[in-house]
Amino acid sequence: MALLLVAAVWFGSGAWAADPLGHFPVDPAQVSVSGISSGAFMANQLHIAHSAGIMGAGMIAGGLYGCAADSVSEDGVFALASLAVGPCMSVPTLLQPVDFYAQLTADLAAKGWIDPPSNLTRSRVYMFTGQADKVVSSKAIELGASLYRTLGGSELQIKFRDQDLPGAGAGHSWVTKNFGNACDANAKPFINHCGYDQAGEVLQTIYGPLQPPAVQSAGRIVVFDQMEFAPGKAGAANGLLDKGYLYVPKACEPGAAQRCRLHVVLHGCLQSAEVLGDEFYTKIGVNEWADTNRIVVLYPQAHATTVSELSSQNFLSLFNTNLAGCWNWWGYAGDKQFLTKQGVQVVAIWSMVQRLTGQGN
Amino acid sequence: MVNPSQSVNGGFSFLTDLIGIQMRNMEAIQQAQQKMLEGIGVLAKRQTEIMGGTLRRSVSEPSAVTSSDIRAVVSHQIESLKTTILENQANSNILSEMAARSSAEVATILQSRMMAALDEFKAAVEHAIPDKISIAGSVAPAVTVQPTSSP
Repeated sequence: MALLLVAAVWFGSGAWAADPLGHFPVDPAQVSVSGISSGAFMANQLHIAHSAGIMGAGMIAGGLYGCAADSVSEDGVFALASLAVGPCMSVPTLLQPVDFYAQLTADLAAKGWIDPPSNLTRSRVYMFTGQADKVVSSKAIELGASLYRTLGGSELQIKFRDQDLPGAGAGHSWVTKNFGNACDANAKPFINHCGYDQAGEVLQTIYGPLQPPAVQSAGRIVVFDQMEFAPGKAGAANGLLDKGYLYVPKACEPGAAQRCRLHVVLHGCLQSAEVLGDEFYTKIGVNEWADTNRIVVLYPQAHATTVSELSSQNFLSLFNTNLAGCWNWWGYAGDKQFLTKQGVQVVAIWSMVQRLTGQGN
Repeated sequence: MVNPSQSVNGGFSFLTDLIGIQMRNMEAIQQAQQKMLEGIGVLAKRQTEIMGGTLRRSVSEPSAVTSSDIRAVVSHQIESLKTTILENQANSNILSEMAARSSAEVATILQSRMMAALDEFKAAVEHAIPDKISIAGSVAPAVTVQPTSSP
């Protein structure tokens, strides 16, 4: 009886350790990423930092590379939370001209901190902003698309969609055909039903025409340990949740005859599993497309970092928290490399990708 | 009985330690001042950029006064005013964050030096004063620990 009680408390508290992420039959040449809101900014950072290894990206309601950056020095990027919540989100008239962000990208590439932006010419990009979005201004996302055009030239394929969904348009959300809030809502869970299959649009922009989605997903969710991907296993201090999730279609189980694609999906603020449970990684429509098109889907998870969880407390601690569990796109937790291949979260997610493709340890 | 030559040597050593502590304090103050100046420089630069941006936007703003539709003119003016208010708030937040970060860096430098200086002073005192001298100048009585029976 006592043993059962201990077991119940142990599992109920979520304190059990998840298994390490395994290797799956994934083609490293078919890795892509998408995200919403802070996840879109992070998807954008991952794509531009690792443009040699990521074939395409989808940015929903977010994404202008270096939007919160103020300047670059020898030890990294100086960014401000006030730039993130001001110009990047709500006061777009204060955004810099696109040349500023292009120069920032060129500077980081010149230092070898990100892959050469010339790789982006081969990329396929989907960007979306809803007409009713009251959280991240459309202008920032339009500027994000302009930056891609500036960096990638005419070969880059960009699909930019806005202002044509029913009614007032989409609020700040991942848009689905029939799950979530009303289309124009700007509230939790930030998944809105607008009769628009955004998951399919993202995936088909990146991979080209695909088989129709399954009516119901039939693969399995794998829970894995994210701590091993954080420096010193200090996930909480760096905005990483202890567990991540992976969706594996039956056709992509180890031993499959044909290699699968890999798509990384990044949730937004207040959307991690510690806030929404399994809602984000099971209800946004991606898994159904994954089933019929041999796509393994990786859902890394961010964590809401408080002052007490930071690795060191000092007068700068308040600037380093991440209370809404967002991905790092303004340099919190003292990470001056958040935009680059050395950024803590970029390293963590890229290491997960490499583990899955068999290129990492 | 304290050996006088030992006492003199200890005094010199203590003085040297104190001078070393003071030198490091001065270095920390210098570093803090430098950070403060850098912060002021960055703030001034940012303020100049903000003023430049405001001027640029006001010049490039199409004038609505020429419109014959009075409602369009009023609506445009209100929207402009709202934008200006939001811009001012965002600019104020940016400047406040920069100032706060700069102050926090200075405070961190000074506090960490203060903590180190206190540790160094403690070590210097322990080094300079023989361990058997008590505050009153008498030899400290030996402390005997009585074995206690377990409860």
